[in-house]
Amino acid sequence: MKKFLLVSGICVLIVVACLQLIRPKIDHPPVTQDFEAPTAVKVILVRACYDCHSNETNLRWYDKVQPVYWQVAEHIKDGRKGLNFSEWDKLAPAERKAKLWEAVNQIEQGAMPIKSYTFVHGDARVSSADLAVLKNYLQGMVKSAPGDTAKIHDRDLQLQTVGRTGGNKDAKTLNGITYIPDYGNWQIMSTSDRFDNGTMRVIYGNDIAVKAVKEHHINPWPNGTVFAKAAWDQVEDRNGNVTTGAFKQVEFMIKDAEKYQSTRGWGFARFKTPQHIPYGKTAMFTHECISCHEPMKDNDLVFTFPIKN
Amino acid sequence: MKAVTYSIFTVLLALIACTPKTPSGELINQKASLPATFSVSDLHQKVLTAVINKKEHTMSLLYGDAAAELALKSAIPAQATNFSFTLVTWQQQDDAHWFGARIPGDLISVEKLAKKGADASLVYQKLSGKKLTTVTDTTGTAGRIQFMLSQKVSILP
Repeated sequence: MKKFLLVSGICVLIVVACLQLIRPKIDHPPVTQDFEAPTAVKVILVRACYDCHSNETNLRWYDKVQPVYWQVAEHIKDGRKGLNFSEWDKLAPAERKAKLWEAVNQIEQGAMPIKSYTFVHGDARVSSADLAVLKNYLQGMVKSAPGDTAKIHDRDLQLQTVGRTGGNKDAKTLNGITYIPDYGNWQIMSTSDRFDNGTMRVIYGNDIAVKAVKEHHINPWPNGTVFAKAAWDQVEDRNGNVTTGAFKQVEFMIKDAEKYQSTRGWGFARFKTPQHIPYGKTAMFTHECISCHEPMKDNDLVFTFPIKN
Repeated sequence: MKAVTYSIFTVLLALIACTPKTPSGELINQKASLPATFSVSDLHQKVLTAVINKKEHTMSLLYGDAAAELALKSAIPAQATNFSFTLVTWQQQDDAHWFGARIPGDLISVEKLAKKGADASLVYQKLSGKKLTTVTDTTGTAGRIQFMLSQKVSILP
């Protein structure tokens, strides 16, 4: 028995030693523009995020030991693709804001930093005090603009043109989802005031979704459920009344556990502007959807708290 | 001993494999839900627009039938006929799932505005609170009618 254990142990050591020779490349591309923020904010993000979300990855010796190194390399590759603080110049101003809000939400919901990472890198954990600093920073970015003439102009322009041109009713995303034209006649799941990006939203649900809410069968949502989330600019008057301005986009979530197995049972689609321009440069855009919805994994990936009505 | 080891292994595997799902009841926005006695979805009206009041921290959805939609798109909505509106208003609450969003919280009121028949006058009714009890005080009614009829239908291309 002892001899068997000894031989097994030696074999494992040889395999582990050989594994050290197979190493995926982790490069350090140049920092084209680093994210800038007040020191208190920057310190937290560097400590908790930069190893995977920047080009300034700081690998400790224990990160370089196989088979851990493979996982680390994969995290860095995916992390930089989703959000890279070292290439801040490659994002448009609206994208930068959206990424920051998404990042803080991922932290708040416990999806980031990933558990296996903080298990080894304890200093990367974000405390509730750290989170408060980050949230406070984002709150400072929210600007209310009563009587914003640009938004009123955008709305008026759409009102003049939409009736004449209409949107492309046959628009289709690269994952094969065709625009659903009659969602405006569906019943309501909820509405939201997105003060993070100055939009307001109405979330519609088809008959299957409405029935599921009435019967409390929403985790998981039944096959055939479809949500449509329409978004408009917020147009605010001097009395604090905010109404819907220019139409921004509509997003669909279609539940079919089999058909959309690769995207966790949901078909995701987004059609932007009144012309219904499908979002996504490649069919892989759904990775973005899944990544953002991941913190809702215990809620069938759905953010909305539906209202029984 | 073998049985104990096997049991421990099974329990550990179950713990790893099982993802705790949030019960459906906890995911429904109970605060904002309408009482079973008033089901706005059974009216089969369409949402015509959404309104937020930043000072009052409220949010509303204005529902209406086809005639109500036409009325809001006309030059003088008050002159239209045979329409029916329903305005549901909630207090806002922070969205526990998204920092940066506010969603409906406590149900404040349901207001109904209808005009049936060419010669008929406007009928306004207000129901208030979680149980939607009828409000008999008519103070401010004219302003509320004006508010509902002055809304613009959301652009939905």
